[in-house]
Amino acid sequence: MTRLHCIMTMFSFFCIYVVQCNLQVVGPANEFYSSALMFLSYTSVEELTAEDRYTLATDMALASITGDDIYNFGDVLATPILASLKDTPNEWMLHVVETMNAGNVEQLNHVINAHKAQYFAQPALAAKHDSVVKQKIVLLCLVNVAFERPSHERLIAFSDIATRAGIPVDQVCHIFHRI
Amino acid sequence: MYRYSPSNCIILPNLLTFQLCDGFVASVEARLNQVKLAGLVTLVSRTLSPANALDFTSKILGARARLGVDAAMCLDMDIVTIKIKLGDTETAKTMLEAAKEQLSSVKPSESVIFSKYYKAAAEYRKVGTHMVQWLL
Repeated sequence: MTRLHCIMTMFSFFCIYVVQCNLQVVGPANEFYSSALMFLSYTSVEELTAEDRYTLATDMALASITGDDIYNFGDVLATPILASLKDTPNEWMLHVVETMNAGNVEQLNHVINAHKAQYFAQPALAAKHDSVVKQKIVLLCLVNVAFERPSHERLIAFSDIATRAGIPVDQVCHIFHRI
Repeated sequence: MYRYSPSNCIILPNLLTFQLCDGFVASVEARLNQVKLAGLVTLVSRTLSPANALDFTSKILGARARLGVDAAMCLDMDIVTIKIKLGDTETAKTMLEAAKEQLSSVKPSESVIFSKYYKAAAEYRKVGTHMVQWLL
């Protein structure tokens, strides 16, 4: 039994290795996102089948949320593709994208908590929640804090940023290092 | 006016669709607009298994000279999508790189070719079950 278990474990690791080797030639999310946006600029969404629309909308929402260098959600929100998620099990993804676009940390946490199981069931979201999603929303929040104010009133206290971004004041400085 | 598109066409049973294209359409294919013909081939190949779709599309692509550059590029991008489904990402990558160079010579009005290219490019970037590859 132990020997069989050992062989099965080794086989599983081998499979994972093979899959990873195969998948290293594809991705990243940024590349998918830009290709998909270009596809939409040459294709009418109405020409796609309902299933294709749903799949593409799901993939684009995931790519925009987890893509390392994707901060402009306006591109995808300007297309009608994400509307295909309305009244589907993945409608929460649309809300995540919209709240990230608004840089609203509190609302994002609310959406994630309301759909915690579905959110963390997505491998890309589960793996990139701390490393990408959290940092991205904080940066987007900072941008929104700055641009909500008139151009002559953009001296912003660290405490204001910390409150809006939901982070300790001593971590605000780290945000600026990332910009 | 009725506008043809994949979402509003009547999807015939797979075998009938294939026979229609392989029989009737094949007999008049030389007289059709070749880009429209490529669109029909795409519709039919979507009803087939990846292996059969590859055979079918490759057979049509055999008449590359008659198809012309535009239609051939459309079908090449279908082949890329099928190759990705079959797990042959290396060939898909090579074909996409070749197509990218050809795109600069395509007239901007031929949006279907750009659409096909970027669809294939997007498919290439998302092989695997729901973006697991993006973690790598």
